[in-house]
Amino acid sequence: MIDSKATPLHASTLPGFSVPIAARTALLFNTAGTAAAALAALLPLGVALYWGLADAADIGRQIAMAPEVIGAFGPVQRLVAALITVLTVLPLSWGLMRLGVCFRQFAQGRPFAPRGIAGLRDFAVGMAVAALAKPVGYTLLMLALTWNAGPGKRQLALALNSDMLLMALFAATIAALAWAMEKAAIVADENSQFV
Amino acid sequence: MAIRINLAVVLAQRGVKSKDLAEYIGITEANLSLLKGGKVKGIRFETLDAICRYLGCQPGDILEHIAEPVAAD
Repeated sequence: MIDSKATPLHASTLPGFSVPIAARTALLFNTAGTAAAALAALLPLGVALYWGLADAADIGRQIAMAPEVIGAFGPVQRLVAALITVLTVLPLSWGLMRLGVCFRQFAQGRPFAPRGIAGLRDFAVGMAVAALAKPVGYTLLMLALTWNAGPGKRQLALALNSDMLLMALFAATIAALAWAMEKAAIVADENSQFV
Repeated sequence: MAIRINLAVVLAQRGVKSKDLAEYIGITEANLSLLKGGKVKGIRFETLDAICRYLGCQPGDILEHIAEPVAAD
């Protein structure tokens, strides 16, 4: 009798299961994977360096604030600002690392590998968390930057811009794609059990 | 599922080796063995057609439906 709980003939988890992939396509996916990993490392490093090295006047101009509002911009403020910004970009960094895993699975011709799909889903999660963290981070950053301002000049700002909304929408799209790929992987797995 | 695979019986009746049939269908012996043991989720019409052509039989000779007893309330 047909055993519906039979071991799959060519399960995608088996090391040999892969689809043929052109060398150029593999190179493209590998490059994308490396770029994602590099960006994941550079993103927090870049923002930390910015807050460590940027001129106080430049920062004021960047966030459209008069120097007297920012007040004395000391090392503690720089450190707090860097910490807030790094924490804001860390979920995205993690997501990019996971995206790198997904690209590497694609490069090996395993588009339905559970590891790759999990990588894509985690990228969407990382991006969604980063999109949510942005307004919170902005509020905390404004508070930190205006901490030393004169009486009545401390600011507690709220921001919700199109960048954040687009980022959240993009994350939702990627999550939907990952979900569709997960379903496709189940179908592919079932097909592999047909002779 | 109550579908019995009688391929092993038909093979024995015809005196055909699994290796030869697998080669004719274009699948591995390991996969044919799984098919014989009913350890697959399904069989493609293409495979069934090749088996019937090689063994000179009908799909009904290879596949058999076994009625399962209805569970009492």
